[in-house]
Amino acid sequence: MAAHVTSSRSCYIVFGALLVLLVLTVIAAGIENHTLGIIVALLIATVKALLIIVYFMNVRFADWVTRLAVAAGFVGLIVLLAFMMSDYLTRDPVDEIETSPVTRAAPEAFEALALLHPEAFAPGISV
Amino acid sequence: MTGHVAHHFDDAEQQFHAANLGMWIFLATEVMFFGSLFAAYTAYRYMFPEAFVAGSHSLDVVMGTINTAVLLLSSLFVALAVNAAATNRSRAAAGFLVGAIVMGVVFLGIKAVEYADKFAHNHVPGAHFQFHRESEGEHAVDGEHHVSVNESAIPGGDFQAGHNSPDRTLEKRVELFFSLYFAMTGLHALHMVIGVVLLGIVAYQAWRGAYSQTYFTPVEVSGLYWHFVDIVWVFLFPLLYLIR
Amino acid sequence: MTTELLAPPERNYLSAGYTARSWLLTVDHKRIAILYMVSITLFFFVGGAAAVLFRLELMTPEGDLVISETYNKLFTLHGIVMIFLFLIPAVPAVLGNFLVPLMIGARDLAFPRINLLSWYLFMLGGALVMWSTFVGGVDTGWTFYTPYSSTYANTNVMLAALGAFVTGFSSILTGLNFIVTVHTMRAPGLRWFRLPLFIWAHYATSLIMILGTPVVAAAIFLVALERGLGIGIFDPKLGGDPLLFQHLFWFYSHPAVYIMVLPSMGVVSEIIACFSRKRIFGYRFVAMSSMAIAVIGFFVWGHHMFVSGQSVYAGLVFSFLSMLVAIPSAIKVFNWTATMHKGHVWLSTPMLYALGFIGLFTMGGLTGLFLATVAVDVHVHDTYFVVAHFHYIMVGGSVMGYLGGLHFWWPKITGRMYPEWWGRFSAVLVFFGFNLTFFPQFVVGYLGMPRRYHTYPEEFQIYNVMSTAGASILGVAYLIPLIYFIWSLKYGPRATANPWDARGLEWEAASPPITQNFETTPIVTTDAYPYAEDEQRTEETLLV
Ligand SMILES: [Cu+2]
Repeated sequence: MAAHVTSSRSCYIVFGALLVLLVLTVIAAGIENHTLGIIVALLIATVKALLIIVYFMNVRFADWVTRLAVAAGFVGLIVLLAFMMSDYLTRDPVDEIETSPVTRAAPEAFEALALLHPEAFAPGISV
Repeated sequence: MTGHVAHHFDDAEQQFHAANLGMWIFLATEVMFFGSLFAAYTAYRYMFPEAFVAGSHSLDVVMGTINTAVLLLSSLFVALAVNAAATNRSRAAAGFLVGAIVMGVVFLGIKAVEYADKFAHNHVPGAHFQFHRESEGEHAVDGEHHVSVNESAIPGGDFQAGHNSPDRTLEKRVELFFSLYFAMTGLHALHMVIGVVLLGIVAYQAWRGAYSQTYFTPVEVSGLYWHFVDIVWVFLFPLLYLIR
Repeated sequence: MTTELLAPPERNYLSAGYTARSWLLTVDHKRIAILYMVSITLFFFVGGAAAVLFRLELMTPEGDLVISETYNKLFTLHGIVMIFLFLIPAVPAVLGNFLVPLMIGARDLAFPRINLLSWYLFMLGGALVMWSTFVGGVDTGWTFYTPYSSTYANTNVMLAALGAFVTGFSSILTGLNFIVTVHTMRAPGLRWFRLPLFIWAHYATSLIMILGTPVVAAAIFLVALERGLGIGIFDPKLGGDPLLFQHLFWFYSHPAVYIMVLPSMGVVSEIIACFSRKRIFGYRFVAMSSMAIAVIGFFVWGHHMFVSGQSVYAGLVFSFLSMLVAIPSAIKVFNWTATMHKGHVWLSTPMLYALGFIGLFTMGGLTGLFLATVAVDVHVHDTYFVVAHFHYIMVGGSVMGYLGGLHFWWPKITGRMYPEWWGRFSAVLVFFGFNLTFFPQFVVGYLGMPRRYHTYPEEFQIYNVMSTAGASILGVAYLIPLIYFIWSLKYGPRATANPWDARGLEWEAASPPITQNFETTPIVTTDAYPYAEDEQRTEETLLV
């Protein structure tokens, strides 16, 4: 069987690099700019994750199927994030073209209803 | 050790490949599982940047940093354990695995201290949640009391703001931050506990000399799981503790 | 080929043990498939019973049989049971479990014990849902929308949600098992483009299971935290966004429709090739369209949120992407039709179900385009038009595929033939009853009858009476196969190894197969569906 695993020497080097990156990310937290800060923090975290995946998790010896499986989860996550945020990032202009006031007032209406008819929302009512 | 090949596999190679691929696919589902929480985090951090800064400042960066280092060290131990098992040093692998387990327990211990601190400060979401910007943060945010929130992004979001002071609104938003904090770190801690048990079983087998160059699948596969839990923390740490 | 072998092999998987233990602790994929078959059949009739009750209620415009709370609990029970406990596992966990290893020439799935674990998780989830029903029911609808589910509902949401959560893990483990099995355990010579389309469909389905299911699990997990521990993730009082739940929920639940329908498409491909005596037209396109549906399915979930406060711009993007699903779906429909063209079509029971699938799926798909259009959706959102649409896809598609596949492989699974006349009769009856039930709902929905209410204006009664009448026929049509399948176990004629003279490795195993599936590992030398070379064989040579 192919016993391809990372040598202990490489393990120690990677661990060293991970610690350096940890220090870097704490220092980078001093960046006052919110957006830049998050980009740097995520970049460093991604590099750390890649080091762990490639060396500790022996993906550099893996075949293409395994590599595909490694990528699959992250690709799926990017799809989720990108399309979900496409909603949040573009909700502002919705105001201007006047979306349904019913939707926007729904929680308020619900609370008002609860004040008027507390019994309808009291726990314990049942069929 | 041909006895390790289950009846439905042709050889050890096929079995190792299947187990390895199976774990990676399981980890893909885990990425999506944690990823959903990260997605919730992304949406709310976009909506309430200031509340996230305020909430983050009340977390202990030193503890978080130490915990990250502890977890990275445990990952090193696991990687060394796989290396040892694959080079016919089963007993050494057991030693490294015990090291990893100890680091895992240390991590959980530090986490428990942090949680206890949250309970003490009423930072646990729920009826007793309290958060005061002035007394909490060393850094009051820009001295201004205006809370910039993308209100229009939340249906009915301005309804609370209308009835409450900005501080009260901020407290609500920070409660949301802490809800995410507990959901994410709690789920992570749960995975750590499972990982500790898993490594414990493998360590016991390794100590009995079960693994060798031709058969170390359980070490490799449970190691993958442990590294994954480490990677989740690598992202959680800057996203929760280090927000400016 | 061992077509003359009429007696079953002495030691087949069914005769391997008769004790409860030999079933409950089995790791044989074929026995686990049977466990699933029995369980989902039970759940199907539970979900069906709920449907009977609310269809009776809807006979009249007034609420006279049940009060509104009970009505809400009935449609919730129907939705949760039918989706999580029947449709999601139906084809993959029963037919897929049984056939994936057989079709690729393997002795079992890659992880037999995980396979058994997934059945136990499924049963645990099912038990939780049943428990939630017996202690009073749930009224959130199967969608568990926040903030109703997290804050306001005072029914047993936690139990039911936990049930859905646990069955989700069962489905993840099934998908994981299929993917690893197809990658690592194919018989020598069985290259990717020689795989039966059933396998391609299940591979695509498994992708959705492993990448989609964890997201809904996380959404339910967060609802549970909010409801159980008072942690407020979706709580508008804290500024939380209930729509976030809908994003996470539909990220899974739209692709989940393809978990239900893709495996049935695989079944239909097998049936059509066999009963047209032809190689599937455009094999590679059909295989790739399964993958395309699985992938595109992840980009369209926002079409469920057009009117719930999602950004209009995001809505437009989701609308456009939803239309794209029509392309691979149409490729399949056209290629199945082209396969039948100039083929020796034999209208056996499985073929009738497959043809029914094509017709109903096409209807469901085309009305899906209406709903994917933002402007039309604003009009018909949350009306019976939507109810009719998704029943055409999920019942007209998924259930037709399941029943067709069950008839097609029944001889393989049990070693017995079902009565062909009754089979054809009930297949036609299902098709008729289904259309009578759901076509009027398109009309009444378009006229404006909202879903999920137990009373309605009088002018809608005629459509509801038609619908209830159709549902009665449909109910009978589903009971007939149940009866004759059970009958056939004892009295059905013995099946040969290959009663349909079909192609595929599963037909080279005995009927029923031995525990190890094959005496010797088969070696594959041809592409899938090599029917063309013996076109002279016709209906008469086939065993009826
Ligand atoms: Cu959809």
